[in-house]
Amino acid sequence: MNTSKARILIVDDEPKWGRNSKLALEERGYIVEWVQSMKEAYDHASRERFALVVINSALAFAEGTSPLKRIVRRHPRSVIILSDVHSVAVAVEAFKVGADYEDKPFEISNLVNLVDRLICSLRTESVSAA
Amino acid sequence: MARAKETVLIVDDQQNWLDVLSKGLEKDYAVETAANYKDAKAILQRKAFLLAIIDIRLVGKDEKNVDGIRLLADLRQFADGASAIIITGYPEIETAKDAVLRYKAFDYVLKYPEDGSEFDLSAFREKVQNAIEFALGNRQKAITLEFKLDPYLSPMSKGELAGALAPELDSSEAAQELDQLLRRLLYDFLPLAPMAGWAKVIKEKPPMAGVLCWSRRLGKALAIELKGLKETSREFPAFLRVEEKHSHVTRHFSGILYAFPELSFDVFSGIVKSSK
Repeated sequence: MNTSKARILIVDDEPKWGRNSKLALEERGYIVEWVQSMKEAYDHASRERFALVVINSALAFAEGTSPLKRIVRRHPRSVIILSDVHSVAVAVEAFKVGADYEDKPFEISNLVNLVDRLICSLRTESVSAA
Repeated sequence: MARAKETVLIVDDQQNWLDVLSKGLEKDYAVETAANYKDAKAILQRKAFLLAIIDIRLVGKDEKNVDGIRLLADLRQFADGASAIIITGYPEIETAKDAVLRYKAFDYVLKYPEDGSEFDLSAFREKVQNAIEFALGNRQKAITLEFKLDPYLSPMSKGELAGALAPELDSSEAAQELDQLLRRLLYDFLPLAPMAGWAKVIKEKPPMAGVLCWSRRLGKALAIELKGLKETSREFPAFLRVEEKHSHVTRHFSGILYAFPELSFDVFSGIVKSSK
Protein backbone atom coordinates (compact mmCIF):
# COMPACT_ATOMS: atom_id res chain seq x y z
CA MET A 1 0.00 0.00 0.00
CA ASN A 2 1.22 3.45 -0.82
CA THR A 3 1.25 5.35 2.40
CA SER A 4 4.17 7.56 1.59
CA LYS A 5 4.07 11.23 2.40
CA ALA A 6 0.69 11.26 4.09
CA ARG A 7 0.92 13.77 6.90
CA ILE A 8 -0.25 12.72 10.33
CA LEU A 9 -0.70 14.91 13.38
CA ILE A 10 -0.52 13.12 16.72
CA VAL A 11 -1.92 14.97 19.73
CA ASP A 12 -0.96 13.19 22.93
CA ASP A 13 0.62 14.37 26.16
CA GLU A 14 2.03 10.98 27.07
CA PRO A 15 5.71 11.38 26.03
CA LYS A 16 6.54 7.73 25.60
CA TRP A 17 3.48 6.98 23.50
CA GLY A 18 3.90 10.14 21.44
CA ARG A 19 7.57 9.56 20.73
CA ASN A 20 7.14 5.89 19.90
CA SER A 21 4.13 6.37 17.69
CA LYS A 22 5.90 9.13 15.80
CA LEU A 23 8.90 6.86 15.22
CA ALA A 24 6.81 3.88 14.19
CA LEU A 25 4.63 5.87 11.81
CA GLU A 26 7.65 7.58 10.27
CA GLU A 27 9.23 4.20 9.73
CA ARG A 28 6.03 3.25 7.94
CA GLY A 29 6.50 6.18 5.56
CA TYR A 30 4.29 8.85 7.03
CA ILE A 31 5.30 12.38 7.82
CA VAL A 32 4.44 12.84 11.47
CA GLU A 33 4.04 15.84 13.71
CA TRP A 34 3.60 15.16 17.39
CA VAL A 35 2.28 17.81 19.77
CA GLN A 36 1.29 17.63 23.42
CA SER A 37 -1.50 20.18 23.70
CA MET A 38 -4.64 21.23 21.87
CA LYS A 39 -3.22 24.72 21.44
CA GLU A 40 -0.20 23.41 19.57
CA ALA A 41 -2.49 21.05 17.68
CA TYR A 42 -4.64 23.91 16.56
CA ASP A 43 -1.61 25.98 15.53
CA HIS A 44 -0.33 23.12 13.41
CA ALA A 45 -3.72 22.24 12.01
CA SER A 46 -4.37 25.79 10.91
CA ARG A 47 -0.95 26.12 9.23
CA GLU A 48 -0.72 22.76 7.54
CA ARG A 49 -3.04 20.23 6.03
CA PHE A 50 -2.96 16.72 7.52
CA ALA A 51 -4.35 13.52 6.11
CA LEU A 52 -5.20 12.45 9.61
CA VAL A 53 -5.31 14.12 13.02
CA VAL A 54 -5.17 11.67 15.92
CA ILE A 55 -6.12 13.17 19.26
CA ASN A 56 -6.05 11.64 22.72
CA SER A 57 -9.50 12.02 24.25
CA ALA A 58 -8.08 13.32 27.52
CA LEU A 59 -6.78 16.36 25.63
CA ALA A 60 -9.53 16.61 23.04
CA PHE A 61 -12.21 17.84 25.40
CA ALA A 62 -10.01 19.26 28.15
CA GLU A 63 -10.77 22.88 27.34
CA GLY A 64 -14.28 22.55 26.02
CA THR A 65 -15.10 21.52 22.51
CA SER A 66 -14.23 24.65 20.58
CA PRO A 67 -10.53 23.92 19.85
CA LEU A 68 -11.56 20.48 18.64
CA LYS A 69 -14.39 21.91 16.55
CA ARG A 70 -12.00 24.31 14.87
CA ILE A 71 -9.61 21.50 14.00
CA VAL A 72 -12.47 19.41 12.63
CA ARG A 73 -13.69 22.32 10.56
CA ARG A 74 -10.30 22.53 8.88
CA HIS A 75 -9.93 18.78 8.57
CA PRO A 76 -13.41 17.40 8.02
CA ARG A 77 -13.67 13.61 8.26
CA SER A 78 -9.97 13.39 9.13
CA VAL A 79 -10.01 13.81 12.89
CA ILE A 80 -10.08 10.79 15.15
CA ILE A 81 -10.32 10.70 18.91
CA LEU A 82 -8.54 7.88 20.70
CA SER A 83 -9.72 6.98 24.15
CA ASP A 84 -7.66 5.08 26.73
CA VAL A 85 -10.80 3.47 28.07
CA HIS A 86 -13.60 2.21 25.87
CA SER A 87 -16.30 4.85 26.28
CA VAL A 88 -19.48 5.34 24.29
CA ALA A 89 -19.96 8.66 26.06
CA VAL A 90 -16.61 9.91 24.71
CA ALA A 91 -17.48 8.55 21.27
CA VAL A 92 -20.76 10.48 21.33
CA GLU A 93 -18.90 13.70 22.14
CA ALA A 94 -16.56 13.01 19.23
CA PHE A 95 -19.40 12.29 16.82
CA LYS A 96 -21.23 15.42 17.90
CA VAL A 97 -18.41 17.59 16.62
CA GLY A 98 -17.96 15.48 13.50
CA ALA A 99 -14.86 13.58 14.61
CA ASP A 100 -14.46 9.81 14.56
CA TYR A 101 -13.69 7.60 17.54
CA GLU A 102 -11.58 4.52 18.26
CA ASP A 103 -10.37 2.84 21.41
CA LYS A 104 -6.70 3.67 21.86
CA PRO A 105 -4.63 0.62 20.89
CA PHE A 106 -2.38 -0.90 23.57
CA GLU A 107 0.42 -1.56 21.14
CA ILE A 108 2.11 0.92 18.84
CA SER A 109 1.93 -1.70 16.06
CA ASN A 110 -1.85 -1.64 16.35
CA LEU A 111 -1.81 2.12 16.10
CA VAL A 112 0.14 1.82 12.85
CA ASN A 113 -2.44 -0.65 11.55
CA LEU A 114 -5.24 1.66 12.58
CA VAL A 115 -3.64 4.64 10.86
CA ASP A 116 -3.06 2.54 7.72
CA ARG A 117 -6.68 1.52 7.71
CA LEU A 118 -8.01 5.04 8.26
CA ILE A 119 -5.73 6.58 5.64
CA CYS A 120 -6.75 3.85 3.23
CA SER A 121 -10.46 4.44 3.78
CA LEU A 122 -10.08 8.22 3.57
CA ARG A 123 -8.27 7.79 0.25
CA THR A 124 -10.97 5.47 -1.04
CA GLU A 125 -13.53 8.01 0.03
CA SER A 126 -11.82 10.86 -1.77
CA VAL A 127 -11.31 8.74 -4.92
CA SER A 128 -14.95 7.74 -5.03
CA ALA A 129 -16.02 11.32 -4.34
CA ALA A 130 -13.89 12.63 -7.21
CA MET B 1 -49.62 35.85 27.04
CA ALA B 2 -48.24 32.64 28.42
CA ARG B 3 -46.46 30.64 25.82
CA ALA B 4 -47.96 27.29 25.07
CA LYS B 5 -45.89 24.27 25.96
CA GLU B 6 -43.89 22.62 23.22
CA THR B 7 -44.76 19.00 22.66
CA VAL B 8 -42.18 16.29 23.23
CA LEU B 9 -42.56 12.68 22.16
CA ILE B 10 -40.99 10.00 24.36
CA VAL B 11 -40.58 6.49 22.99
CA ASP B 12 -39.50 3.64 25.24
CA ASP B 13 -40.71 0.07 25.64
CA GLN B 14 -40.04 0.22 29.38
CA GLN B 15 -42.90 1.76 31.29
CA ASN B 16 -40.69 2.81 34.20
CA TRP B 17 -38.53 4.90 31.90
CA LEU B 18 -41.57 6.44 30.24
CA ASP B 19 -42.80 7.35 33.71
CA VAL B 20 -39.52 8.82 34.92
CA LEU B 21 -38.97 10.91 31.82
CA SER B 22 -42.60 12.02 31.50
CA LYS B 23 -42.69 13.10 35.12
CA GLY B 24 -39.43 14.94 34.72
CA LEU B 25 -40.58 16.83 31.67
CA GLU B 26 -44.31 17.37 32.01
CA LYS B 27 -43.96 20.53 34.02
CA ASP B 28 -42.35 22.32 31.11
CA TYR B 29 -43.57 20.37 28.12
CA ALA B 30 -46.63 18.66 26.76
CA VAL B 31 -45.50 15.04 26.76
CA GLU B 32 -46.73 12.24 24.53
CA THR B 33 -45.49 8.70 24.85
CA ALA B 34 -45.30 5.56 22.76
CA ALA B 35 -43.99 2.14 23.74
CA ASN B 36 -43.10 0.63 20.39
CA TYR B 37 -41.93 1.47 16.90
CA LYS B 38 -45.31 1.13 15.23
CA ASP B 39 -47.21 3.39 17.61
CA ALA B 40 -44.42 5.94 17.64
CA LYS B 41 -44.28 6.06 13.87
CA ALA B 42 -48.04 6.52 13.67
CA ILE B 43 -47.80 9.44 16.09
CA LEU B 44 -44.93 10.99 14.15
CA GLN B 45 -46.92 10.75 10.94
CA ARG B 46 -49.87 12.42 12.51
CA LYS B 47 -48.31 15.10 14.62
CA ALA B 48 -45.38 17.43 14.60
CA PHE B 49 -42.84 17.52 17.39
CA LEU B 50 -39.92 19.73 18.10
CA LEU B 51 -38.23 16.92 19.96
CA ALA B 52 -38.45 13.15 20.07
CA ILE B 53 -36.72 11.24 22.85
CA ILE B 54 -36.15 7.74 21.56
CA ASP B 55 -34.94 4.56 23.22
CA ILE B 56 -32.94 2.35 20.83
CA ARG B 57 -34.09 -1.11 21.78
CA LEU B 58 -37.84 -1.06 21.56
CA VAL B 59 -38.31 -4.79 21.92
CA GLY B 60 -36.67 -5.53 25.25
CA LYS B 61 -36.02 -9.19 24.68
CA ASP B 62 -34.48 -8.76 21.25
CA GLU B 63 -30.79 -7.96 21.63
CA LYS B 64 -30.45 -7.01 17.98
CA ASN B 65 -33.37 -4.66 18.01
CA VAL B 66 -32.52 -1.11 16.92
CA ASP B 67 -36.05 0.13 16.22
CA GLY B 68 -35.17 3.45 17.84
CA ILE B 69 -32.60 4.10 15.12
CA ARG B 70 -35.19 3.20 12.47
CA LEU B 71 -37.57 5.64 14.05
CA LEU B 72 -34.89 8.31 14.05
CA ALA B 73 -34.35 7.69 10.33
CA ASP B 74 -38.13 8.07 9.84
CA LEU B 75 -38.11 11.29 11.80
CA ARG B 76 -35.52 12.65 9.42
CA GLN B 77 -37.93 11.88 6.59
CA PHE B 78 -40.97 13.45 8.20
CA ALA B 79 -39.44 16.39 9.97
CA ASP B 80 -35.83 17.00 9.21
CA GLY B 81 -35.59 19.99 11.48
CA ALA B 82 -36.89 18.25 14.59
CA SER B 83 -34.46 17.37 17.36
CA ALA B 84 -33.95 13.86 18.63
CA ILE B 85 -32.31 12.63 21.78
CA ILE B 86 -31.46 8.96 21.76
CA ILE B 87 -31.49 7.17 25.10
CA THR B 88 -30.27 3.66 25.68
CA GLY B 89 -29.40 1.10 28.28
CA TYR B 90 -27.26 -0.71 25.72
CA PRO B 91 -24.73 1.83 24.50
CA GLU B 92 -22.65 0.87 21.49
CA ILE B 93 -20.21 2.83 19.38
CA GLU B 94 -22.00 1.78 16.21
CA THR B 95 -25.47 2.92 17.20
CA ALA B 96 -24.00 6.14 18.59
CA LYS B 97 -22.29 6.76 15.27
CA ASP B 98 -25.46 6.06 13.31
CA ALA B 99 -27.56 8.20 15.59
CA VAL B 100 -25.28 11.21 15.91
CA LEU B 101 -23.22 11.29 12.71
CA ARG B 102 -25.66 9.77 10.26
CA TYR B 103 -29.07 10.79 11.52
CA LYS B 104 -28.06 13.95 13.31
CA ALA B 105 -29.38 13.07 16.74
CA PHE B 106 -28.86 16.01 19.05
CA ASP B 107 -27.54 13.70 21.75
CA TYR B 108 -27.12 10.08 22.72
CA VAL B 109 -27.71 9.58 26.39
CA LEU B 110 -26.80 6.57 28.49
CA LYS B 111 -29.47 5.42 30.91
CA TYR B 112 -26.73 3.97 33.07
CA PRO B 113 -23.71 6.30 32.94
CA GLU B 114 -20.33 4.65 32.44
CA ASP B 115 -18.98 5.99 35.71
CA GLY B 116 -21.62 4.05 37.60
CA SER B 117 -23.54 7.13 38.67
CA GLU B 118 -27.30 7.44 38.60
CA PHE B 119 -29.20 8.81 35.63
CA ASP B 120 -29.14 12.58 36.10
CA LEU B 121 -32.63 13.85 35.39
CA SER B 122 -31.84 17.51 35.81
CA ALA B 123 -28.89 17.27 33.40
CA PHE B 124 -31.23 15.47 31.02
CA ARG B 125 -33.79 18.26 31.30
CA GLU B 126 -31.09 20.70 30.32
CA LYS B 127 -30.29 18.64 27.24
CA VAL B 128 -33.98 18.62 26.39
CA GLN B 129 -34.11 22.38 26.65
CA ASN B 130 -31.05 22.75 24.43
CA ALA B 131 -32.45 20.30 21.91
CA ILE B 132 -35.71 22.26 21.74
CA GLU B 133 -33.84 25.49 21.20
CA PHE B 134 -31.81 23.82 18.48
CA ALA B 135 -35.00 22.71 16.74
CA LEU B 136 -36.47 26.18 17.02
CA GLY B 137 -33.34 27.47 15.29
CA ASN B 138 -33.90 24.94 12.53
CA ARG B 139 -37.42 26.22 12.11
CA GLN B 140 -36.15 29.67 11.46
CA LYS B 141 -33.91 28.32 8.74
CA ALA B 142 -36.69 26.27 7.26
CA ILE B 143 -38.90 29.31 6.94
CA THR B 144 -36.87 30.36 3.95
CA LEU B 145 -38.16 27.25 2.22
CA GLU B 146 -41.75 28.24 2.79
CA PHE B 147 -43.01 28.64 -0.72
CA LYS B 148 -41.22 25.83 -2.35
CA LEU B 149 -44.16 23.67 -1.47
CA ASP B 150 -45.61 22.13 -4.58
CA PRO B 151 -49.32 22.92 -4.68
CA TYR B 152 -50.00 20.10 -7.10
CA LEU B 153 -49.93 17.22 -4.71
CA SER B 154 -51.13 13.83 -5.60
CA PRO B 155 -54.09 12.72 -3.51
CA MET B 156 -53.45 10.34 -0.68
CA SER B 157 -55.66 7.58 0.48
CA LYS B 158 -58.61 8.65 2.53
CA GLY B 159 -58.71 8.55 6.27
CA GLU B 160 -55.08 9.36 6.81
CA LEU B 161 -55.71 12.89 7.76
CA ALA B 162 -54.17 14.12 10.95
CA GLY B 163 -56.35 12.79 13.73
CA ALA B 164 -57.46 16.09 15.15
CA LEU B 165 -58.66 17.27 11.80
CA ALA B 166 -60.42 14.19 10.60
CA PRO B 167 -63.89 14.80 12.05
CA GLU B 168 -64.05 18.15 10.33
CA LEU B 169 -63.79 16.81 6.87
CA ASP B 170 -65.80 14.61 4.65
CA SER B 171 -64.34 12.14 2.23
CA SER B 172 -64.38 14.35 -0.81
CA GLU B 173 -61.52 14.53 -3.22
CA ALA B 174 -60.69 17.84 -1.63
CA ALA B 175 -60.29 16.19 1.72
CA GLN B 176 -57.76 13.84 0.26
CA GLU B 177 -55.90 16.69 -1.28
CA LEU B 178 -56.00 18.49 2.01
CA ASP B 179 -54.84 15.41 3.78
CA GLN B 180 -51.70 15.41 1.71
CA LEU B 181 -51.23 19.10 2.12
CA LEU B 182 -51.57 18.96 5.85
CA ARG B 183 -49.03 16.22 6.03
CA ARG B 184 -46.65 18.42 4.15
CA LEU B 185 -47.56 21.27 6.44
CA LEU B 186 -47.07 19.26 9.55
CA TYR B 187 -43.80 17.72 8.51
CA ASP B 188 -41.90 19.39 5.72
CA PHE B 189 -43.65 22.61 6.30
CA LEU B 190 -43.60 22.43 10.06
CA PRO B 191 -41.95 25.80 10.65
CA LEU B 192 -45.06 27.62 9.60
CA ALA B 193 -47.26 25.86 12.05
CA PRO B 194 -45.87 27.01 15.37
CA MET B 195 -48.12 24.76 17.37
CA ALA B 196 -48.95 22.15 14.82
CA GLY B 197 -49.99 19.77 17.52
CA TRP B 198 -53.11 21.77 17.97
CA ALA B 199 -54.84 23.04 14.93
CA LYS B 200 -58.42 23.90 14.39
CA VAL B 201 -60.22 23.49 11.16
CA ILE B 202 -63.08 25.69 10.21
CA LYS B 203 -64.81 24.13 7.34
CA GLU B 204 -66.30 26.51 4.90
CA LYS B 205 -67.30 26.49 1.27
CA PRO B 206 -65.73 26.53 -1.13
CA PRO B 207 -63.55 24.08 0.60
CA MET B 208 -59.86 24.20 0.61
CA ALA B 209 -59.15 27.00 -1.79
CA GLY B 210 -56.10 27.53 0.29
CA VAL B 211 -54.55 26.89 3.61
CA LEU B 212 -53.93 29.77 5.86
CA CYS B 213 -51.71 29.68 8.84
CA TRP B 214 -50.44 32.23 11.22
CA SER B 215 -46.73 32.13 11.72
CA ARG B 216 -45.86 33.41 15.13
CA ARG B 217 -42.23 33.58 14.19
CA LEU B 218 -42.67 35.47 10.98
CA GLY B 219 -45.33 37.57 12.60
CA LYS B 220 -47.65 37.28 9.66
CA ALA B 221 -50.20 35.09 8.04
CA LEU B 222 -49.01 32.75 5.37
CA ALA B 223 -51.13 31.19 2.76
CA ILE B 224 -50.79 28.27 0.48
CA GLU B 225 -52.99 28.05 -2.50
CA LEU B 226 -54.58 24.78 -3.37
CA LYS B 227 -55.17 24.25 -7.01
CA GLY B 228 -57.30 21.90 -9.01
CA LEU B 229 -60.01 21.59 -6.40
CA LYS B 230 -63.67 21.63 -7.16
CA GLU B 231 -65.30 24.64 -5.64
CA THR B 232 -68.86 24.97 -4.57
CA SER B 233 -70.78 28.19 -4.75
CA ARG B 234 -71.17 29.16 -1.13
CA GLU B 235 -69.68 32.36 0.11
CA PHE B 236 -66.71 32.18 2.33
CA PRO B 237 -66.40 34.52 5.29
CA ALA B 238 -64.63 37.78 4.75
CA PHE B 239 -62.25 37.29 7.62
CA LEU B 240 -60.64 34.50 5.72
CA ARG B 241 -59.35 36.88 3.14
CA VAL B 242 -55.83 37.95 3.73
CA GLU B 243 -54.60 41.43 3.48
CA GLU B 244 -52.27 41.58 0.60
CA LYS B 245 -49.33 42.93 2.50
CA HIS B 246 -49.47 40.01 4.89
CA SER B 247 -49.71 37.39 2.29
CA HIS B 248 -47.61 35.99 -0.47
CA VAL B 249 -50.69 34.83 -2.29
CA THR B 250 -53.46 37.33 -2.63
CA ARG B 251 -56.23 35.06 -3.74
CA HIS B 252 -59.01 34.30 -1.31
CA PHE B 253 -58.56 31.63 1.25
CA SER B 254 -61.11 29.57 2.92
CA GLY B 255 -61.80 26.10 4.08
CA ILE B 256 -59.18 25.81 6.68
CA LEU B 257 -57.88 28.10 9.27
CA TYR B 258 -55.06 27.31 11.56
CA ALA B 259 -55.61 28.79 14.95
CA PHE B 260 -53.14 28.52 17.74
CA PRO B 261 -53.85 28.36 21.43
CA GLU B 262 -51.57 31.22 22.41
CA LEU B 263 -53.16 33.51 19.87
CA SER B 264 -56.77 34.44 20.36
CA PHE B 265 -59.04 34.22 17.39
CA ASP B 266 -59.65 37.95 17.50
CA VAL B 267 -55.97 38.68 17.25
CA PHE B 268 -55.66 36.24 14.42
CA SER B 269 -58.61 37.50 12.46
CA GLY B 270 -57.46 41.07 13.08
CA ILE B 271 -54.53 40.29 10.89
CA VAL B 272 -56.63 38.43 8.43
CA LYS B 273 -58.96 41.26 7.63
CA SER B 274 -61.42 41.60 4.85
CA SER B 275 -59.69 42.83 1.77
CA LYS B 276 -62.78 43.80 -0.19
